[in-house]
Amino acid sequence: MLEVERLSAGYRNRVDVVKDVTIRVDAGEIVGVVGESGCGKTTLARVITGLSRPRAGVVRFEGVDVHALRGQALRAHRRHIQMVFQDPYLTLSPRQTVRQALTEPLLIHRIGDARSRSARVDELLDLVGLDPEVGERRPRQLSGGQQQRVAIARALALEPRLLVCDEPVTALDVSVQAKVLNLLCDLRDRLGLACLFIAHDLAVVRQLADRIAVMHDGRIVEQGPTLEVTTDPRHPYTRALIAATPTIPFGR
Amino acid sequence: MTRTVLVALPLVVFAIAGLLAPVLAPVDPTAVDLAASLLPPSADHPLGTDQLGRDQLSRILYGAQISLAVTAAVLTISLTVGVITGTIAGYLGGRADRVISRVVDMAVSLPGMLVALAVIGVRGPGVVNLIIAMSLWAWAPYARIARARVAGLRGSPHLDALRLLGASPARVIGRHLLPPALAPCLVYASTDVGSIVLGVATLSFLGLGIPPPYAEWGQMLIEGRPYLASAWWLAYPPGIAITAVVFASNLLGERLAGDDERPSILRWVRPTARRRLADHVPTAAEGDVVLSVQDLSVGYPQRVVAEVSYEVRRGQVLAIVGESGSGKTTSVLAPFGLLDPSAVATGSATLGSGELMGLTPHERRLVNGRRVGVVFQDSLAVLNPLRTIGAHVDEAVRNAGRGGRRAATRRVTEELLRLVGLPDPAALARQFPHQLSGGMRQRVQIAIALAGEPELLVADEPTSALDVTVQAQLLDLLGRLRDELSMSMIVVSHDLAVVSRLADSVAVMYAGRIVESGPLTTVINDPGHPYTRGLLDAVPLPGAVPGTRFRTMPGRPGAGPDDSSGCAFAPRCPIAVTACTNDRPVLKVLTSAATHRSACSRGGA
Repeated sequence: MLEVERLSAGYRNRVDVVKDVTIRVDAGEIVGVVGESGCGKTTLARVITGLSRPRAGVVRFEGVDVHALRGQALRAHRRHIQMVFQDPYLTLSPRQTVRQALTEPLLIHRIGDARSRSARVDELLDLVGLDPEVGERRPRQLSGGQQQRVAIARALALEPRLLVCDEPVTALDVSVQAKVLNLLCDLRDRLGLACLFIAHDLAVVRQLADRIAVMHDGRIVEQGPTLEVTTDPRHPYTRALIAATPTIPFGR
Repeated sequence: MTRTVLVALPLVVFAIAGLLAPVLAPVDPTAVDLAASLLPPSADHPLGTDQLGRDQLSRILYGAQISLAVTAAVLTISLTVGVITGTIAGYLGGRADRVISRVVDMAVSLPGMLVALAVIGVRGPGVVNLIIAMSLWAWAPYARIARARVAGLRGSPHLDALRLLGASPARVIGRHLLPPALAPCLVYASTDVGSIVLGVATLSFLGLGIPPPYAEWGQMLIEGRPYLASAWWLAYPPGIAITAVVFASNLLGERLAGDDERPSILRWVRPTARRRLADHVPTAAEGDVVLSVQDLSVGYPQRVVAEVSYEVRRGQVLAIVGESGSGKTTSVLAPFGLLDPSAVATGSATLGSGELMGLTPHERRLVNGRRVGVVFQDSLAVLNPLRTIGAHVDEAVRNAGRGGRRAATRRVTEELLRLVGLPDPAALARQFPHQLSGGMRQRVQIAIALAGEPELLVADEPTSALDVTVQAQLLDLLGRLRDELSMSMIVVSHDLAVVSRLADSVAVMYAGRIVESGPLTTVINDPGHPYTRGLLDAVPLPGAVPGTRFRTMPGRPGAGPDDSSGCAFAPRCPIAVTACTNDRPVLKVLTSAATHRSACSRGGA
């Protein structure tokens, strides 16, 4: 569904932070991208979603070059790929109630009338496991986990086919993180949503992703089915990453 | 709130007087009656009459009308022009921003009165010219405020999210940037009312504003000046009116801008921690206890931490684990007086044999930085961006009393930087915090904390903002320091997996109380409290098949320690019975180990 081919990108005229990256995400698949901060993960996400432009290479969604789209075609394409950011509080406008935030994408694309939009918002809240009463609150009245659910619900409002998640649980407590990850798994099963899951924490990614790509210094150094990569790592960096990942020493 | 209304009262009176002048005024303010000139205040003329026999009260009211009209016009023009220009500059950024910002800088630096004088000098006096003259210098601050606000929002992810949702630039600016930019401008405008009223009065006083015979406050002042000794009612009322409006406008602006976050001097004066007599007598059995905290409660004034007790032994690491808001940071910082001054802490904390609670600031300085070092989560916020790394560590070394001459101090600094595993300390000491990576900055914080050769190191989420590989190195460093210097540590974290690499014992906090504590291995392998079990379930497992769901706890994290009369975890607990919601469980020793305690009425079932 999503094909990224030999992609290079960077800031303005400076050096590339993403170098020659090739990666694909099939329908209904969760692909994890792991690497430390500064390795180019976020830039990769921004180029895939179209927020930034690549210097070389192409991003194809259903065979269409994303960065060649303009005007109406671009607006229509936007609906297919949505993004969930690291800090949910920053991605929600502090001035809007949850209900307003969830209605906004429907208004932008002039979907439905007031009543059907309201029904759709209720549906979205239910989808991410939030009470309807949460709709009247503002972001600062919500917990971190609830904020991230709202951000996910907003990303789902336009029924995207692919969700790009950039460190979606890093800012959350471990117990809350588990719930958000469960939610993403459920959404994949229920909606057939594909997901590019970007994180620095291998522990999280390996429990969630079907395939893992390990990114280091702008390049993908290793890529493959999750269990294969985590149990039989080929690249020294992958091995270092696995060794550094905190685990609970049960039965010590 | 009521005080804000009170402060704004003169402005409200001003606005009503201005709007309703034709209704309120007893007579025409321009009606000349030479027979009634210079009459003192009476029933017919409450504020007397002037030298031409005009009614002073009516003239004051009509003066308010003119001031109000000019103020409204000037504010409308400058707010519109300023906010739009500023928003555009902030949104576009780059070259357009630089050009507009320079123009705004020039406009701000021009002396307002001179500009107004020049404009009126060329175009002559009159209401329209007055408005043009004053708007010319009044708009620039609004542009500057709006630009700063929008530029601050420009890079924020919520605009990225909107763009991804397909929002057009017009929608982004109109719906999401203009409103937040307008808010601080309105606050500034409330102060500006005063300066505009004053400006109009000043220009009229100089004969350049509103020409006679219209009534205007400044003009009334100048006309009343010759009669100051004989007919005081001519000059005083307009003078008082101008003063009241200007004063009220400034006070209102200050209140609005300050909101409720203004630091009150009272907070610093009021004693916060109740002094408690040191009733703690060290016994032989706890000879190796470095820090012992008993029955610590902290409130603001509602309690956020209740009856927490823990102790740290020499060369051991105690981990305090819990969700955000569970009170873990508060419980470790309270003994060292590192909380907000409004916090009220009770209980006892002994370091060695000295009581820590209720120390004076001077006594604190002998403990903090010397016997105890603290490392915080956000190293960028802790380090001053304008000072070099060396300057930071030098200062800590001097504060700890280990400094000497400059070179000697720097030698200690370099030694400390080497101790925390930083390469090339001499070069690093000359660098600034932003030139270092997060992991290196965290090492610098540790070096600062170690400057006083402390017995105890307190680390609040020391690795939470770091990558896993860096985190692992930092945890190894802390472990090495414990082993080599036999230092005691308290590490606060929300992640059991992270601290399990380092800790000897662990205390789990929920809703402001410790619900379980004990040796790390015992707690992990044989948790006594259902909340601890829930936390362990939430940690990803290495061997799990992709797509495996986590076992999660239902409900939301608990709030305060006093919100329920029973167990705070009961609403989320899988094994709760009715009794759990009524009786609060206490920490009980479990059979698995002598130091393993759990606060569950179901007895760790």
